[in-house]
Amino acid sequence: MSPRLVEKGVLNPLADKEVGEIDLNPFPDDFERVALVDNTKPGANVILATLREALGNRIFIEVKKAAGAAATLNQLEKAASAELAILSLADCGSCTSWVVLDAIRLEEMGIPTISIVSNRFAPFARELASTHGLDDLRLLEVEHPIAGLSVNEVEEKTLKIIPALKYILQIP
Amino acid sequence: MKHWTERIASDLTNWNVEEHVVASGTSISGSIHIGNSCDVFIANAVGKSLQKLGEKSRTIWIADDHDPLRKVPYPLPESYEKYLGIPYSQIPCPKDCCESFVEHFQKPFLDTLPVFGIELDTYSGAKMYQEGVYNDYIKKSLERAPKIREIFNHHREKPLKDDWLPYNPICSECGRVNTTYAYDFQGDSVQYRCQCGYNGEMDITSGEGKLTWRVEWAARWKIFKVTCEPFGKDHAASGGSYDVSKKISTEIFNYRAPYPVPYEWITLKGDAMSKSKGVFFTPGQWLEIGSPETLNYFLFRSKPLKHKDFNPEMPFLDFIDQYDRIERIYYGEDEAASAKEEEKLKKIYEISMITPQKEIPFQPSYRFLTVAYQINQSPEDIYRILKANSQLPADMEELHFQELEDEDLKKFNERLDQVKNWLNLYAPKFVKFQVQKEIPHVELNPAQEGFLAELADSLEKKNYSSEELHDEMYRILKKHDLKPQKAFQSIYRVVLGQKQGPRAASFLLSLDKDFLIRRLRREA
Repeated sequence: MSPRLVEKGVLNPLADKEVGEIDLNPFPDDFERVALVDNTKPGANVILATLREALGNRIFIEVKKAAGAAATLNQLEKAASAELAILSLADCGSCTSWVVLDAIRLEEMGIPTISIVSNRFAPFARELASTHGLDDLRLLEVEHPIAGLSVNEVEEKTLKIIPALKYILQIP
Repeated sequence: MKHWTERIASDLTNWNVEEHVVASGTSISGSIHIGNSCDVFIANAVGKSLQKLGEKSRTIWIADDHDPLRKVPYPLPESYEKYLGIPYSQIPCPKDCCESFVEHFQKPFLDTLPVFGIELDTYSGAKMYQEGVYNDYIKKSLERAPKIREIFNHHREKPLKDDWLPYNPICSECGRVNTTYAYDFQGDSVQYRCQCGYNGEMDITSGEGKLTWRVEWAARWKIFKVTCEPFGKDHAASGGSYDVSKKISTEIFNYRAPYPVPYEWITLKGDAMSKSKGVFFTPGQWLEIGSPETLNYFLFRSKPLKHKDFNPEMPFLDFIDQYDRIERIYYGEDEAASAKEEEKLKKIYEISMITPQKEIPFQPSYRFLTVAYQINQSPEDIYRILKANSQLPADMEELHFQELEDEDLKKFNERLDQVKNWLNLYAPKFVKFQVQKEIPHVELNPAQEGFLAELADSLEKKNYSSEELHDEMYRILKKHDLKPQKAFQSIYRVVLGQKQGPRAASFLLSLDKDFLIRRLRREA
């Protein structure tokens, strides 16, 4: 019996800083289509639903992807059909890596992003983004933990980041 | 693409209400400037966007004229310090020209609003108290004082005292409202003490007192059924007025707090506007130098939380150039950098417009007029100068001044007035000049003499466009081995009696040709 080979992307364990710097995409002055990228971590959907409410009358493109793997090309393209993407949730080592890397790939595709990261994993997310040439990747910190909380508790934590979200997006 | 005011209106359509009320309000603590009247302009734009979406909407403005005077506003004398703490509504007019202090400062503001196309229902906070509009809310606030204290304390480092009540009577002895402390009540009667030493009782239905600001704001939302309200960023801070009033609104008055629209303050030449220090710029002052649409454009071209600085001096000319360009883009007379940019700029222009027009309004260059007006003040002569300098749009190039359409003539005269005011009020010294009636006594070197004489000959032989004249001047100055600076200086010195002046070619073409030739030859 011959072994089945599966190709997987792995992070560079040495975390060398990549040479090229990537420019963050600016947010459009006004936007109609927003991609909500849900990595199915507990609470990610509640966070995105709460943010969606705060963004008012817009078209939302929902993308679901696995927390422990990179987004597929189809998923990225679906997200890139919006004018900006919000990715949730980075609250553990593995999912933080993939949220950051997915966000970077979207930025490379020309889509401005905001990644929701728990404050516990924000330093790691920042370091990782910097390693990939995006020092200023937009991270919105939500209070850790999220897993294990009730819907109301996650909503309450999310409501606290809405002023920052609106400020970043320059919307009233 | 939607403008941000349209976005707000779009979001508000989700509110299941019969009528939207977009509120604005201003403390009458002095001259009302473009910084603290932002909410009025934003409220008006949101209200109009709501109406475009088919929603019923009205815009209201409440004068916070029952608030105490905290600082003496510019330009009132120090003697007004005796009114510190007194409600604005009870302070006399500083110049005996109006019924009150409030009217003195709010009238110039309200009078300009129709020019901006702003329609508001206006209310006086003081009158609302006197007419008993707040009575039920005062009673409820006194009854629910422990809960209100709890809401306040949630955001305070030093908690309020257990006997604190959310109401400030106007002291019967000293007349101040910010020095009283209400500590008990029975029925409609509130007991208080004042820092002046007076202890007294106040009937809450008398109108001689007011709710604490954050409670008053929440009460007002319910009274008027407010669904949206713009306000300065100071109210929007975490744990600030809006957060506290929102809780009071929902938990005490059972009313959903309005859609908040916080906005950034406007600075004047980098300084924070201050009524007491006299650092401000009013909508009335704006109308002296610019059309009402240009103030709308200034306020609506960027997002509300983006910092805006206004400088009425030289940067104002760049600003007007920018506005004129956007106007041309809107009417297809100019091109934006990209299709996206065009869409954005057209939307901002559309929101800034007061009366929609089918064709581009006549927009003689403001910057050019600052030169032309200093040469000749007659509109007809200035029109001729514009013509001579190719400053008229293609469809007007052949038109004589007398053939101008009424609307074009009106726009022309308005802009001339604005330019005149700008020159008088804000133009820096280096912009100003005066054509000398007599030949100024100046000493020129032979090369400069030769340059001027040959320039006079050239002008005598041919009618130049400004580009052609520019080239001709360079040809002559090179022939005389003159540096451009020295050559142009010689022109300015014989015509203006100073070393510098406006761009030479178009300036010379703006002057009477015979006069110019004789002056260059130093004959007249």
